[in-house]
Amino acid sequence: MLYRAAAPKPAPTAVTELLVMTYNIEFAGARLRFFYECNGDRGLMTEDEVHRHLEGLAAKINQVDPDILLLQEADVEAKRSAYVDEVQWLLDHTSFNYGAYASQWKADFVPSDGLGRIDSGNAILSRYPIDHAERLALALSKEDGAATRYFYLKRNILRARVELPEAADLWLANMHAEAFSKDDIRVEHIRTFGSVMTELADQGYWVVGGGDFNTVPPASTQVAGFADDCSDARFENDDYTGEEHYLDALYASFQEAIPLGDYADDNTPYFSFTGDAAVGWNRRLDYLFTSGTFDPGSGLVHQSEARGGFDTLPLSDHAPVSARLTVQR
Amino acid sequence: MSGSVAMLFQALVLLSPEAPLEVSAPPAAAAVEPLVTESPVDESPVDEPAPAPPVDGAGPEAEVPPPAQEVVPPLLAEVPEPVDTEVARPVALTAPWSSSTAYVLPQGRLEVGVFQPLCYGLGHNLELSTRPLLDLLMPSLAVKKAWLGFGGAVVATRHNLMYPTGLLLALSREGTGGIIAHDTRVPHILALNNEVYLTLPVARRHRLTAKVGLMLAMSVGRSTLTTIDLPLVLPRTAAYTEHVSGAFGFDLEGPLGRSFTYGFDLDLFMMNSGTSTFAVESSGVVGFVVSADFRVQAGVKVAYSELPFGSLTWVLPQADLIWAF
Repeated sequence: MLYRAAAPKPAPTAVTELLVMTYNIEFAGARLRFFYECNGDRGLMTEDEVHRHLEGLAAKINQVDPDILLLQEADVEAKRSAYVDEVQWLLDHTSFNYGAYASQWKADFVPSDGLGRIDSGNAILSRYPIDHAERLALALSKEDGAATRYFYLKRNILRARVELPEAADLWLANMHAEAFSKDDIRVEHIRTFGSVMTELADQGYWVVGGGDFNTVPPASTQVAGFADDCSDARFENDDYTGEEHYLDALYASFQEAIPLGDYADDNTPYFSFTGDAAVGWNRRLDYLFTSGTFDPGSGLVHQSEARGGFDTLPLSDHAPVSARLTVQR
Repeated sequence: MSGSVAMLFQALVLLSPEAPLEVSAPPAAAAVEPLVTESPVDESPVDEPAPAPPVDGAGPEAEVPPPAQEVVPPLLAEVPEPVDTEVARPVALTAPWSSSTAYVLPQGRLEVGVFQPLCYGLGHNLELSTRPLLDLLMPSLAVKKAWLGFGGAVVATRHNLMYPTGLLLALSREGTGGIIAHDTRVPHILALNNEVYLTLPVARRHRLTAKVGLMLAMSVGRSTLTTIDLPLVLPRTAAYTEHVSGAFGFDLEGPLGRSFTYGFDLDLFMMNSGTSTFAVESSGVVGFVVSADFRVQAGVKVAYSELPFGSLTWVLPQADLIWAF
């Protein structure tokens, strides 16, 4: 599904570099504790809550002012977020003009936890025209029964092409990999993502891909027993043991926003997730890869005032990750 | 029966101008009572003694002569001498099977279906209905009163008082089956659905009913209740959160040969629920009258509803087994 801002904003007529960002916005849930989370009880948000949370997200996005934004967990027609079309809302309250959206969880009515209508997925927002977008389905978890699979998430990669002035077209890939299954579906999603990136790069296209991969990088010093674990959440606590090399192939083939060496030196400044704001960011799950070149030192996980100029802990359970891309002509 | 329902019922009986002048047939003859009773002024050109009700035209009981009208209702007696005697015929206000018409069940007739409510002809042209199993969670009682029959037309009102809070609380839970979010504050809700029916005979032995409804709901206590955004459900529950909803529609029913019947209806619901303003439902059913006390019916229902995120259309089969006693 393609979007346009209600009132298009002027975009630069020439582009020398692009600022790209990825952000899992948790359907504008901010730091409400939902029923599936630790100590969570909330089911649905009010429209006022959703708008207030979106205003916080838009403030952060406008502070960074990226040219391209990969969004995960954006609701467009979901009862839990008061049916606010978050993609359209963010388009209309930021400097983006164009958007593409692919559902990863869509059902007319989910008869569970009061969810009702759900439509949530990945989106790409851009200052520049998106002339092509497609939804690439990812494999479903094998451990779920037929009924669960019918109502549950259908994860995907949103692939889109952006027309840039006086530059090569830029291909984008946005993925939110499986989070909860214990089978090998997550690594399968990551492999598929790598294949999509590689296929484009091998054809000579310039490509940036990223999203929430729900796994930690190689050289992570902690893979289990996180401080935000609890015993009352709907899902089991995250344990990435054995996943330390899931991303090796991607790191080998593409440049990541945060150099692996920097991360190995100190994981902490690059953590992009926490389930508990009081605990603080405690692991990295969000990535940006390119077949081109990120400006050295431009990669940033926007964790706080000190690191990104904005306290992002209250906005979502993920922090945005950005990097500046050298433009290819 | 709750005190409020009992009071409502008493008021309806007391307010009924023809309450002591019931024209219903006694229970034994209920199954064969014609829609239109013969009257001294009847000069109908129809060959048959009197058109039988659609669901009642078959079976040996159909040959039994209709009961004589014992008392002419005052409303009919006061009517000036008619010019067209066809129009002026007094009309019985009962029919042997409950339906979406202005007719009510004869006194003492009890009817129940797998899905349709339990209905009882109380006499005084009154019919009570409720859903015994659902009453455990959502107590409700409907009173239908046939007020007036004149010139082939029958006018009735139906008033359904319900307390849906228990059902809504049962649907508000975590996990599978949680139609409503578990943290929803469900208030005490008392809803009253009021409908007016006008049934007219069309052609021979067919009946057209127009109906208008207004549901009013009041709630007590803090509420975070939201709408249940589904066709069929939202039109019937929108008033719980918005306090008022309306409906009007038409029903056409009649016989298909000797043992079969048909029914067709079209209903428009008006809501005041954000972007959801209306819903349309239509159904067609074919019934088979097995005996005077048992019938089956099957058909299809199409339901369209505007919903907060757009609209949905459902096509659903429907079937029921209905017994009368």
